[in-house]
Amino acid sequence: MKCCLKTLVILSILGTCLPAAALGGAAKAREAAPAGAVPEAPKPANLDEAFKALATYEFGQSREALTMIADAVRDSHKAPADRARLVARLTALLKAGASLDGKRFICRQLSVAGTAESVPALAALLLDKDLSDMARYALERIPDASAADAMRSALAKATGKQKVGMINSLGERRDAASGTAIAAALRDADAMVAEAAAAALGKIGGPDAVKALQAARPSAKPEVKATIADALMLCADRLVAEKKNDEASAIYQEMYKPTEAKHVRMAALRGLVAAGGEKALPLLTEILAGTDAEMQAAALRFLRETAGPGSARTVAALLPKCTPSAQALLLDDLATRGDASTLPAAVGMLKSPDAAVRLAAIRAVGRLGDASTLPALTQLAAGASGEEQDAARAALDRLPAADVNPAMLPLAEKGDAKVRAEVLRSLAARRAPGAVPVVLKAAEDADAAVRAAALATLDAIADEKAAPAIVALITKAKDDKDRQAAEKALGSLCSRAANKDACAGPALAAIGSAEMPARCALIRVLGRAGGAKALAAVKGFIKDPAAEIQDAAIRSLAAWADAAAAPDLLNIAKTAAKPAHQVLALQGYIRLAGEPAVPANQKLKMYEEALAAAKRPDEKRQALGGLGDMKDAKALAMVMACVDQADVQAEACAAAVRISRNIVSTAKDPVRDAMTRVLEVTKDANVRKESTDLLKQAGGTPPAKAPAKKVAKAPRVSVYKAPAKKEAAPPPPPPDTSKIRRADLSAAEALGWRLGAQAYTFRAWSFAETLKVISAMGLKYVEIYPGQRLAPDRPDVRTSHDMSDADLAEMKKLASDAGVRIVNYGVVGLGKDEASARKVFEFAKKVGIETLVTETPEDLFGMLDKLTDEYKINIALHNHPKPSHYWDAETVLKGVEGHSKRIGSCADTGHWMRSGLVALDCLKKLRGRIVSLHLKDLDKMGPVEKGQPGPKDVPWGTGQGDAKAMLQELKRQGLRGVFSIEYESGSGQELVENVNKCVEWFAATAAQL
Amino acid sequence: MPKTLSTTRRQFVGGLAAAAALTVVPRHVLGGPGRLAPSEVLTRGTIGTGAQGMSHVLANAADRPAVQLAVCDVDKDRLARACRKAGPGCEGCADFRRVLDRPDIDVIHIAAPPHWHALIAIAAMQAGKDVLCEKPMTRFIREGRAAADAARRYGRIFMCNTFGRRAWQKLRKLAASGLLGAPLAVYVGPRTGFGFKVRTWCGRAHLAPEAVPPELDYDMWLGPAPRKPYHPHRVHTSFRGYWDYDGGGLADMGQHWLDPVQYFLGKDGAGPVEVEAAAPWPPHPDACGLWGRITLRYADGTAVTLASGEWGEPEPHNPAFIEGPQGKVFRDERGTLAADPPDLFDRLAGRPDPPELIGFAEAVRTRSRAGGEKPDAEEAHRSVTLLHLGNIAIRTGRKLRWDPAAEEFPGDAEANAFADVPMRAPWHL
Repeated sequence: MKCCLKTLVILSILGTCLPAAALGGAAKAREAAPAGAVPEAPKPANLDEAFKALATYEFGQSREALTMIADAVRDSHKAPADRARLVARLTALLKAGASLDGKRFICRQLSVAGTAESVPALAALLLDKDLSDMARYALERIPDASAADAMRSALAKATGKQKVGMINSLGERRDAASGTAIAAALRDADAMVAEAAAAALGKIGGPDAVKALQAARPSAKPEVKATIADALMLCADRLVAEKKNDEASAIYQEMYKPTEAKHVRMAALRGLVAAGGEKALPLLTEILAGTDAEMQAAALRFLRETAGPGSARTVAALLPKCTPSAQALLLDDLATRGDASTLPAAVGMLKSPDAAVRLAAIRAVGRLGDASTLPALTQLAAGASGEEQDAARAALDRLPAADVNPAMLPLAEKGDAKVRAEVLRSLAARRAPGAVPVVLKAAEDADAAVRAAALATLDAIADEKAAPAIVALITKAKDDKDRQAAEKALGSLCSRAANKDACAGPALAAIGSAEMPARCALIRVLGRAGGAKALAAVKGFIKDPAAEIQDAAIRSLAAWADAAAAPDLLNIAKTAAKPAHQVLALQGYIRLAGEPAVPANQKLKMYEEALAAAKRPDEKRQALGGLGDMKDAKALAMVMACVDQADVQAEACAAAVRISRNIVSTAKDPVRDAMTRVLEVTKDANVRKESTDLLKQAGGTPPAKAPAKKVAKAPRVSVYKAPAKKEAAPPPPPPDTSKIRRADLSAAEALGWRLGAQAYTFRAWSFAETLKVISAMGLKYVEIYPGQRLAPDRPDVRTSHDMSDADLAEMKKLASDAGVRIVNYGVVGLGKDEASARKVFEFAKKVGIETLVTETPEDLFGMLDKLTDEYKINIALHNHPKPSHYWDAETVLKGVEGHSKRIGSCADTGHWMRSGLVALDCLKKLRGRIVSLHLKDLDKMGPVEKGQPGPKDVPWGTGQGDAKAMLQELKRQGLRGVFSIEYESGSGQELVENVNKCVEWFAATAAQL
Repeated sequence: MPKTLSTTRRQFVGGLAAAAALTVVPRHVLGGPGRLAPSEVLTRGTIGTGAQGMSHVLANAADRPAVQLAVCDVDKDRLARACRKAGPGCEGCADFRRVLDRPDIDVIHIAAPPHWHALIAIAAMQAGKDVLCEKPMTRFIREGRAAADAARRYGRIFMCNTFGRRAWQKLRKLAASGLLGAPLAVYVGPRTGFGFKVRTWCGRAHLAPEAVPPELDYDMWLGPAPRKPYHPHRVHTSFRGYWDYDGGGLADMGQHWLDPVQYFLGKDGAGPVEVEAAAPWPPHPDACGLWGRITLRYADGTAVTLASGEWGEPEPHNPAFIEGPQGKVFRDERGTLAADPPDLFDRLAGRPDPPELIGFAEAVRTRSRAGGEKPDAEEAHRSVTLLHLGNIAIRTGRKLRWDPAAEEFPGDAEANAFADVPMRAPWHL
């Protein structure tokens, strides 16, 4: 019922937009009077009746008659006789005296169809108080000269807006015969008239108009002057188009005077460049050597807009004469012009003392260059750092000339190792065909960096022919690193190769004779290629007595390229001795079930098996995810069977919604049942919304909104759980500070980097003990968190914004006695409203805290904009790993956009690594929005394979995070702020020692930077 | 009628000229060491504070210099609401010329109805202002030519506030690579992820005149549009359904979708040569109605098809978004853009990326007119032209030839009449 109503509303809104034919059976709906509309009169029987109705038409009456006439006028487009008859009738009615609204309608029709015949009737209305505009609406467009004559004679008698209207329309028609009359109007006492006259003269153009405009300009009222300038410019533009460049230049020159407004001068400059060509060069040189950046940008743009042959060389000639900022702009311009003859000028700028110019020069050389620029660019790529290195690499990767790839090969073969590594890297980016033999050779080089670069390049560009050689690289690898890189390269090749056997064959052949680690590598690679022969071989290794071989074989199967490995994987998932192998195999099995090549019924069966075999929620979720992609009621049933399992309920509901979306049109009953059940259990707002929609589509009725259950929630103080268990355990012995080495952090301080520790690192101890440890290391800052015991003798008091003022004072005293400042607080929840957030801010203010570290949702940022500014306290958004809300730096970046600069990121580099993100990239992305850091280095990147231990904190600089590069990047960003050590692994003296190492590394690295 | 309204915009513009010599672009706009980021200090005036306009009104901070210096609306209630949001330091104006008159305003945000866009934008640029203008850029084609010319002449930054082009850089790279072959066919419709809200923005016929509410300056609201009696459905938001002010759902959503198409096809500054529409016949002369399909063809054989999915033939089952003789890009089951052959995007590696696109504030700072994340005046004029062409094809009911260089329908006065419409005095282009 609701649906029908909706249709009716739409139809009634459309009113007569829709002809009956378009509506088909629903045509009757037009007769219902829409809200706000008058009841419809019966449709006129024919045009005669329509004209009769038109004569007395008033707004608000039925438009049927008008629509009929308008349709007839339009349809007579190709029937001149019909058209003439209609125009005659309209004109006659206009003359005979229709109603006011009738006349307005006739004018609109005549604006399109009117002829000389209509002019007298329209002319009679030009001075009518209601119809002047509408008469012009028609006359402006009637091509016959009599239309202009009529408006010209009305011009003499009209005043005010009507006069402006005549001038506007005559100007639109570029009516030269009105030039004199309009020129006289330039001096009209009414500024509105004078302004219209100026604009019209600009459109009419010609020497007389220019003369009149120039004569009127000095004494014109200020409010008319700008239009005169615009009109003169228009006249001059037209002269340029007519190749009367000298006349045009004279006009522009007048407008370029220093007394003119800047944007007018800019417009004049554009004209001067367009009209003057080479003659404008001295003027441009003067601007480009000056200091007005806006004019420089404009000058360059005009230069570009008037680009002709040779103009690139003109720009190149300007280069040495300009300021560095103009040089950079000119180089960018040369780059876009792409004129190879300007390459030497760009190369000359590579050695500029100005960094921005050098960068622009590198970019330009990258666009214009050929093989001759390779030495310079490769040296820069190998020797420079930061942006310049990035630019040089990008230039190398893009050099357009055809001779570049062959010229690169000798550079990859010999010379400086760093340069060779860069060339090899670039060959990969360039997808250089024919480079593979050279790269293969380099992969056996004596220099480790060259080998690594070559292997990475092979990963990208090796072809099937290279397979035997890469197999040899695996078997003869000098060390683990090389072997792993070679294995990765061969794996990638197997994945992308069309002829899988050409890749698997050499690997298979070599397995028998290969030494142990290489053997395993080759077995693993086979999975990436797949195929019957390889499968037979790998199956054989599953029962191998050597544990490493077994492990490699299982991993190989788990990554198998085609579905043929599925039965074996299922078997391993059920029977393997090691749980890790069971998990690996099951994950591989579920992945294969999702392969497009697997038929739907087989997929269903596989997912069913997988759900039965899964022991952990992770694999069940994976299977449910796969089922969610299916378009099958049976899949829906399978998913619904999991809806009652608490640990996978959310995924089951989401999958049920996705399947239902695909099948709702064909399988209404199961969808209705499923969505009803989903609505009973789901807690996710999106799922709820979608399932409600789907339920409606399936013909069901969504349950009435149950009143929201008020669940008394414990106030969420912190995302760190208070160490409830540890409370019961006896406190650890106090830390031994005697072996702590104090670091010299002066170099870091000079960079504006304040190193502190997150007290959470020492959570087993109290705050007082924490202070002892960190002050002994030379740290002057601490980040507190909610829930730490204040002191060994005060176990009941915990650091938090719920502290009493007396305890707070004690905390501050403890810190100041230790020479430590409390600068950050977090990770702390800020509650849902301003009142609860204010409580935390008040606490922070009392303590003297600079930054609150939190994971508060974006919808509070508006309120926080205000509070951060009011309290002058920053908000730093912390990124706990997936699936926490801010795990991805992009989310943080998007969230803070447009908000106070006081709201930014608390960059937790370790958690990024856990989430599988490259921390360095995240830091780069967040440039300008990093407020504070939890710097960390981990022993490996996440996410880890199931059953493997998670990544662990390691002393900075010794893990996989490239901590030094992070610091380099932060220095490049000019970041100033607090780095908190948050070391989450280990305890006791081992922990103290590791943190001490971090501090020392930080001090030393900062000194190197 | 307030006294100021009897003058034309250029009086105010002219009045500015003397002051502007010193302050057209305040020094801080150009940035430099030790200065705030330009997006934080660009002072703005917002013209039009209706549904869309309010998103262009900032709330001034109490402890920093005001950024939102003026708001303007011809509806007193809306103006008061906008003033409340902007807070201290913001002037409420009933006449947009007052906003352009203020030398301390750097950029003008235009969110008035489309029949006002070009006139305000041109006046703003003649006053030395930079402009962020809501979509659709114009009401008819010649307005766009005039606005693009003004932007070029005065070296002003103009951007049209579409959803932008950043998301389409990969497709630009793909289209430019030639990997898809030529000619390309583009399909823009609900089945490829793009809706037009055609039914939402249909106009109504048979509206009985009503009294103009006291808070509305209706004559100024109409501006250059022909005078018509007042009805609430013809103004505020639902104006989209009337040809005098806008162009229905096609004009509402079209520039969001079609500007990126012009961009990734590399056709900025160009346009189609032929347009054809399938729509109910006859069309209503006053109210925008339904349409089903519009096809635009370029000289090189490229075809862009728009489908509303709201009238006429059903859409094809699984249309490709972009299709060439050697491959296509389509929406996969998850709704993300996928390629066939699947490695198309991988094969782009190593080819040059299209230049990075910059935002409005950055463009204002660097005075860089081209290469914006949103279309500049010329680009926006060219992309909004596609919508106008579609609507003119609907209104004439004929297949039309278009000359994108001369910007006219050759030898077709009737179609040209829709591309260039006379204005009510005192307004003129």
